[in-house]
Amino acid sequence: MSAAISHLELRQISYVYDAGGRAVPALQDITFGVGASEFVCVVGRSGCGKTTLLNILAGFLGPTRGEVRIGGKAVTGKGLDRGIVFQDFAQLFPWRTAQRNVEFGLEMKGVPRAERVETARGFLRLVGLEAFAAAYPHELSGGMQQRAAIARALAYNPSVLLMDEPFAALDALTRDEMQRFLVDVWRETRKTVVYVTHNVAEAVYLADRIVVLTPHPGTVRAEVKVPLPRPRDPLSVEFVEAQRRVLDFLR
Amino acid sequence: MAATLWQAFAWWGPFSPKLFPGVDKIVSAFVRLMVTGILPVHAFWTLVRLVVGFGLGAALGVAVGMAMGRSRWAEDLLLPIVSVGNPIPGLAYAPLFVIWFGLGDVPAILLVGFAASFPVAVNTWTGVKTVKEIWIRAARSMGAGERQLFRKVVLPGALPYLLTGLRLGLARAWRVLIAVEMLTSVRLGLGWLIFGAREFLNTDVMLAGIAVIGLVGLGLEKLVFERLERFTVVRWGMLTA
Repeated sequence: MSAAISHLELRQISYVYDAGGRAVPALQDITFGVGASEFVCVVGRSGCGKTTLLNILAGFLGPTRGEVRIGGKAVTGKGLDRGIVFQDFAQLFPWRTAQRNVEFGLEMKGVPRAERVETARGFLRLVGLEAFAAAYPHELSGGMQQRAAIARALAYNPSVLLMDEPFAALDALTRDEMQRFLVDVWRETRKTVVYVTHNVAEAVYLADRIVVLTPHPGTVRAEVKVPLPRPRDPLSVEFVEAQRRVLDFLR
Repeated sequence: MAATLWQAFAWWGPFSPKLFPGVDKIVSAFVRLMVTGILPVHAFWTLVRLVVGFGLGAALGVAVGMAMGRSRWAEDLLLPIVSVGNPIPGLAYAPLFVIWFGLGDVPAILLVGFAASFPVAVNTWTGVKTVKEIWIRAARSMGAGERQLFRKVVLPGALPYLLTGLRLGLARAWRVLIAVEMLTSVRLGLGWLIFGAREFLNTDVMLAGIAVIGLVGLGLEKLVFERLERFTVVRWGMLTA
């Protein structure tokens, strides 16, 4: 455990779903912590329950057993203490401009208009979309849409950022660029991040620590620290070595 | 081109000029009726009925469609009614409405609203059903409550279908209205104008009235709906122009 006290704690989370009368365990006894401002990647192959896990953290699903704690308090349901970025580009509201999309959470919070506009503008600047504030989502490229989605999830100032393979649908070059960009944003905002992915290289590039899940049912196979300095060089020996260590647990 | 064919048919066709007037006759009747204010007055009252009737029907249709889309219970209850009712031509109910509400404006307006509400309800329901789950999740994760979810996500998300429903509903309202004006003896109205002109074999007046009906329909489509779409769903990339 990298921090003595974890900001986000998962305590013996199990999730069982019902498949036509048959109880199927999807997650079993998932326990790990994420320190404040720590970047943790959850890695596993498809079907290992990593998205289910993220949905539990987000509050979309209640765990069958176990609990999630943020800042020492048990959380149930959704809350503005967590921001979520999905994989699907369609997560932005097409009827709102980039600016108005970013304002959405602030609107729900009841932040006055002038302040809302100001804050949203600041976050668009952070993600490099200031010039596209008035653009509608369909006028933005996939990468830009995901940037806007990140700005939207950050704008209402959650302490935890949950990301579900946000770059998986991007082309390889844009993905590399977005990974560099995300590290910059994270360093600037110091959020506690849980990032789900099946891409080991991506996890090694981004994470302070990698939680490896294995399927049927989803269990924590290992936790791998990535002590490499940033920005990381994906072609360096140390980087490849770290990848190999993670991959060994996935085989 | 169409005018030429019409004119040729008027000259050489089997009808006498009294029954099948030439383009010149129709145009002059149109101009005469416009200048004397007869056509505008009839058109005005028809439009009043359309606006009131369609307004009621649209409100009812949107409410029913939204309820069906949002609540399983309402869907089970209302969908069979709406599905059976939708393909029935509104005019089929006209005699019933006359028995219930007498002659004049009331049955005409109510029937127009009733007929228009079906396509609006069906399309609103479809629209709500096609609102993407991820928008709902994103909004909920940002703390949206039921009301905010409805106003800020479901309503705009369903708008492409909702507009289609309104457009179909208006077209249906327009058709039913003209016919029902002939049946319920309204005092003034395009349907009544055409029906009344039959008594005196004023075919030029009838055709001038029909031309106004076509023009108004086209105007509603081009000036109201195309604009509405251009400023909303087309601009948002939810519908390609």
